[in-house]
Amino acid sequence: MKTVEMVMPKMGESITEGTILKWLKKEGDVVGNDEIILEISTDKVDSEIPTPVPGKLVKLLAKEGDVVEVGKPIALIEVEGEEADKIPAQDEPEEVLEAPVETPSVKSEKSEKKAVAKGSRFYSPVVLNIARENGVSMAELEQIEGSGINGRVTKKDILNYLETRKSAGVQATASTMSAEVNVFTGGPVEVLPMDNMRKRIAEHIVHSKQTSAHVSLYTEVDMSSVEAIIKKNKETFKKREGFSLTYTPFIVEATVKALKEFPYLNASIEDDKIVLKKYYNIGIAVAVENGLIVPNIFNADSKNLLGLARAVYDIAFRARHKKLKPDEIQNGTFSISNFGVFGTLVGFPIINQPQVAILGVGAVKKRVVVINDAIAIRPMMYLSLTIDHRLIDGAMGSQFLEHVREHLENYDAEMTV
Amino acid sequence: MLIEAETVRLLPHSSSDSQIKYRSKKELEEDQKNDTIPKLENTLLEAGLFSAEELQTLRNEIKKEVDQAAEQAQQHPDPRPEYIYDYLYAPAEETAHLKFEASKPSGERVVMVDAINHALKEDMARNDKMYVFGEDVADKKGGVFTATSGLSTQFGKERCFNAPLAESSIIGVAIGMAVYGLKPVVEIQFGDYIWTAMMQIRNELATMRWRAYNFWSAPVVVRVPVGGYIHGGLCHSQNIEGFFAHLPGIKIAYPSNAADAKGLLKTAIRSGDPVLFLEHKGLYRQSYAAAPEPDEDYLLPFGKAAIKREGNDLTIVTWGALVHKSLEAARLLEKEGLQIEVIDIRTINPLDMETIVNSVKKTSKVLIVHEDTRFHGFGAEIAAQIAEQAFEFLDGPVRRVAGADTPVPFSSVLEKAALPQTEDIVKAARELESY
Repeated sequence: MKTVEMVMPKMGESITEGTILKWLKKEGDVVGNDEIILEISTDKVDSEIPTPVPGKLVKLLAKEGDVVEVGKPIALIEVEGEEADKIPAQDEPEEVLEAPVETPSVKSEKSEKKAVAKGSRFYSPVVLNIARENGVSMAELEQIEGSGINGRVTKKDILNYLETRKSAGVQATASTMSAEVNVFTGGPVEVLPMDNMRKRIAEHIVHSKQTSAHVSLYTEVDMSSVEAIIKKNKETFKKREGFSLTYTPFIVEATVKALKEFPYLNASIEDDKIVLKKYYNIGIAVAVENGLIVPNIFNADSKNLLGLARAVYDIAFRARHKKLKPDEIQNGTFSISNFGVFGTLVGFPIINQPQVAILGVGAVKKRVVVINDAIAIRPMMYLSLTIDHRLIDGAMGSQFLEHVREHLENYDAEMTV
Repeated sequence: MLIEAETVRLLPHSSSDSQIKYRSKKELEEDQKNDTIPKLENTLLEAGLFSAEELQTLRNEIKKEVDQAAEQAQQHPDPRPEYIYDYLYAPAEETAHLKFEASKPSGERVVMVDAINHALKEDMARNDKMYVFGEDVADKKGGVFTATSGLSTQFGKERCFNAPLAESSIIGVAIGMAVYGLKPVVEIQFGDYIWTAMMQIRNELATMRWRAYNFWSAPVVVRVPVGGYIHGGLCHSQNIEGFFAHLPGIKIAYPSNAADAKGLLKTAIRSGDPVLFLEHKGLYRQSYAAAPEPDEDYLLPFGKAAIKREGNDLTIVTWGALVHKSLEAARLLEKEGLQIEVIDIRTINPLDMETIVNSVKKTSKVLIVHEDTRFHGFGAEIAAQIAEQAFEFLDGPVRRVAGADTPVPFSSVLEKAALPQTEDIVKAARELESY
């Protein structure tokens, strides 16, 4: 018999600590191989964590709500017999999905250096405090240019940054709910604390609104061909793949094609520089239990339609089951929000920073349309595009949207997926 | 009158000592014969002054008194742990009547040594229990730096007199006078020679009120010229505040200018605590340490720092002669666009951490500048307290500019290398700013 320490797993490259959200097992419980025993939240994502070894959970070393450094013990598990000898000294979480290493081919030497420095740079107590008080996430902090030694973000740097952010719009305030606030004049209310995810969404969205000059455009797409393909392949696809073929992989594919034609939409702005990304990581907004998360399909341009269908299904499934890794929601280059699945006809999403555009997908509905001066009934879909007007003007945005439409309408209705 | 008494020791020095180990039986028996109590009793009986019965009664009464005292002590409840800080210093009510900073210094400009001289004169006139003594303090010399000039002429040699070249004796005599109820304001001619008085200061002066639980106190003011930059070499240049700051029970002032010196010295004289009053020799007659003279009731509180210059970029915490070099550095750095805040702590103990912490909250960067040696200098204590109280506000390491960890040399080239210069402060501030 041997007692094994379970440690806070490393949830991603830049993650140094995690919050114990919930223990799903209690002391004394016997846990089987890979059985989920707790939920952990990092500043990127919430994850369910399986036991590193089967055995008996003898002691929980951290309470719910505790923030624990990566590598520090969180539980003791008693293991019997041969199993005990197989335990590695330090348990590494299993790679759930191999995230490709992003190495943009074109990058100035300067920004290359900065990127290296940013990952490992030191933040002083006061800078971290100011960031926390003003709702600046770690990811956002890492974007700030530092003027101090080794690119360190000084107090002045973050204050200047906040000043710019403030002047760009309404100030983001990290709302901490006070338990005493219970006097409301309108009538009875229920006061709930915001959970981690809600706070992060709020932060992220407000930050985006303050950063980009949002402009939205929309068009309508005749989805007859795509619908025909889905209909034709429905049974065999489901049987073979185990899930249904949807509109989404078609939209992703059409988008990537259009992005290659309009590289400015697959870009970001750094200071006064335009960074054109030569890789296509397409974020798919997925509604989850308490909110929204945008995992990426990495290198979407290297996947065919079937590959995209599998990738869409995979990330959506894992997003809903808290199996995403923090790295999977970073380094996206363009995002798609498909609110059409809920029946909405058209909407204008907010850009996922530091990207410069986002595609909104409405519901496919049969509508009466005029084709060659004749009235016809077609499965129609409104497609919207929100662009950052700082970089993209209406003309380019419209052309991009038209190209996506054309790619979608020109699918070969006879194709086999 | 001097009595020289040869006495015997009948019992061991302590219960852990056994003198049988090192003294012969014969010697101990001889000593027993010289026990003074039976000897005195025999003398009294032989002279017919007491009868044997009367002596026995007296013995019984004394024993009873001692036993009662022991019994009373036994029955006294144990002190509570929180009593530990009681009466380390004079209770607040003792100084409650003092009105601080009731006026603004607005008289004629005066140099620091003259401001000190005037403070002594004015308070000697005000308080006839005040005495000034030390080496060479009486007229016509009036002190090696003339700080006590005119006192013996005005108040007589009874109240201002020269002491032998014996610092331990100066402090010891002053402690006795203070416990008796007088107000001794003594001078140790140079900080470099205070060390022979260290035992008196540490074991007696600093502990008197605390160990007597406020029954006694020894409010001695010890004026001490200190500091370098005067080519005084290793025995006339020392800074001593770091050593004495380590003693609980003694307050320490270290003014940087004439007005502060007068206000703090008067507060020291009118308060109930022992005070080490440090006067920088290099500032005595400097025009930049001169100030409009405060009036005779101008009192400055201990533990209140002065913000000599405001700024948002970096805080310099300093005292004594380095206040002026820090201000000079701040003026030079202003040309580079840096706004430096300069804080003169004015008293070492008590230390005004509140002002320092508030400044750290504003600037997030601190440079501590002092003349004393760096290793274990008083700056180390300030740095530690900043780390404890203001860690979350820091945007850079707390840095120090201080004297080299060597004695202060005589050669002017070496003295310049050993003591902090304006350019050292400028360089350190620049580095910290760009951190």
